Amino acid sequence: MSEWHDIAAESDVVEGTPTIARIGGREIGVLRDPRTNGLVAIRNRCPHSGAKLCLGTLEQRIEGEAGGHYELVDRTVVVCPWHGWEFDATSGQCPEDASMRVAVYPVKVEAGRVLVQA
Amino acid sequence: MERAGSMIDCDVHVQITDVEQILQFVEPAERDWFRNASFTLGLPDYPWPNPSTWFRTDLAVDETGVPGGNPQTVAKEVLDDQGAEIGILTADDALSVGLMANPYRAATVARAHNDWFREIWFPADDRFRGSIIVPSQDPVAAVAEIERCAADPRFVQVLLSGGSERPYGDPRYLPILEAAAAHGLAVAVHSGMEGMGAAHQASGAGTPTFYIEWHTIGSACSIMAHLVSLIAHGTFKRVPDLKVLLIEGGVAWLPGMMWRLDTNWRGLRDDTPWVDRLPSEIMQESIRFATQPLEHTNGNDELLMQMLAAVGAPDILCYASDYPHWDGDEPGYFERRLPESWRQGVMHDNAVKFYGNRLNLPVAK
Repeated sequence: MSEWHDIAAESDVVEGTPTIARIGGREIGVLRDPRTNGLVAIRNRCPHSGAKLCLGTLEQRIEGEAGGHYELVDRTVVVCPWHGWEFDATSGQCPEDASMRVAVYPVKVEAGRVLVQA
Repeated sequence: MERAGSMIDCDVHVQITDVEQILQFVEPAERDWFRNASFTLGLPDYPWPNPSTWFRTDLAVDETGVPGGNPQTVAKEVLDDQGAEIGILTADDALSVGLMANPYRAATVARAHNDWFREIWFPADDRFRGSIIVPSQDPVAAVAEIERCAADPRFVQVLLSGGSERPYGDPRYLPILEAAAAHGLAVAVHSGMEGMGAAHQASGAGTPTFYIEWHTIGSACSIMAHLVSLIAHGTFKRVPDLKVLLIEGGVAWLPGMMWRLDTNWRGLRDDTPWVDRLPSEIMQESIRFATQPLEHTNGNDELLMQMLAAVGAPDILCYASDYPHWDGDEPGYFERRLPESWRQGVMHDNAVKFYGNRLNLPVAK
């Protein structure tokens, strides 16, 4: 049964720096989404080759319809620091590979504290 | 050796043994320019001569000593003797027309070569189909030539050379690809002519010294470059009906190349976000590979077939003999190298599906 875990003070979770916690033997990182200013809790292990995923970046997804067309879309992805693979910050799914998904966790703020359900 | 079942030969190189065969379709005012050229019709020439011969030495030759120049002889040697139901004629020296420095002369050569097919080769045997060659250095003229020829149902594809100024995903070539697709014509890219005329050098490391270097590296690398370029530019998304056949670049490298491309795409997709599916999926849907030369494997054919199976080989390979060249694949021997379950597809059915109605197969009697 998953429980809510107190990870950090909300004011300590800042853009560009992951807050890492160990819960039940797993490393989970909480990151600040620079696009929405919201929080993302995601397992700190890339399912591709095991890199510490939370050392990567949160970025707005780029898509395009045809050659030469680039568009920022309403989607944040976690970009792995090693090979640049992207994972949807909401679902954990790699859009480019159906077999690659990283665990993401519910996260909320109560009384100035960041809580993660895991 | 004749194959027991029917087959389609996707690469039959007919030879220009006398330039007057072509010049009869050229305006008189232009003919002397082509006659005075140092190499056939002013086409760019290879700096790497084959050290022995470009051709099989068991074939009938005419007074010039070259095989493949007589329509009746080619019909006998390719269609009757080898048992091809259809032989798709490709160009030989004229494959380099798109690399001539002079786009106007190139347009003339392309037009005359296409007329030569239409007036001399097609009437010689109703099992011949042909390739439209185009002055690709001038896409407007190339499209006009496609429009001029497309109404003839015996043309099944537009033929481009492996050697090129830029890989064919580049937008300058898009009108050519669109025009082909609009007429139900495939686009075939045949390796060769790398480093010739306006083309960039063969290999990615400068000019090779020997024919063996060009034949090993140059002809494969250009095909790899076009394959990756067409996918990276999202060409098949822009031109959904486009069908591409890559000829004579080898295939043993294909699994590694696609795995490499798939891997890079996952990490580098921001640069080409319109590529919204695995490159290998796009390849398997829209690109086919002529089999010759199927690499000899020093006894590792089983391993090769396992690798090829991983990228969909039973559905994407189409037999080609490369007649009358020295390194051709004899159909009986070639077919026996394939797993039995692949044979009908590779020798026949895949090409039938690929070319579709343009192949205009004879009605069974």
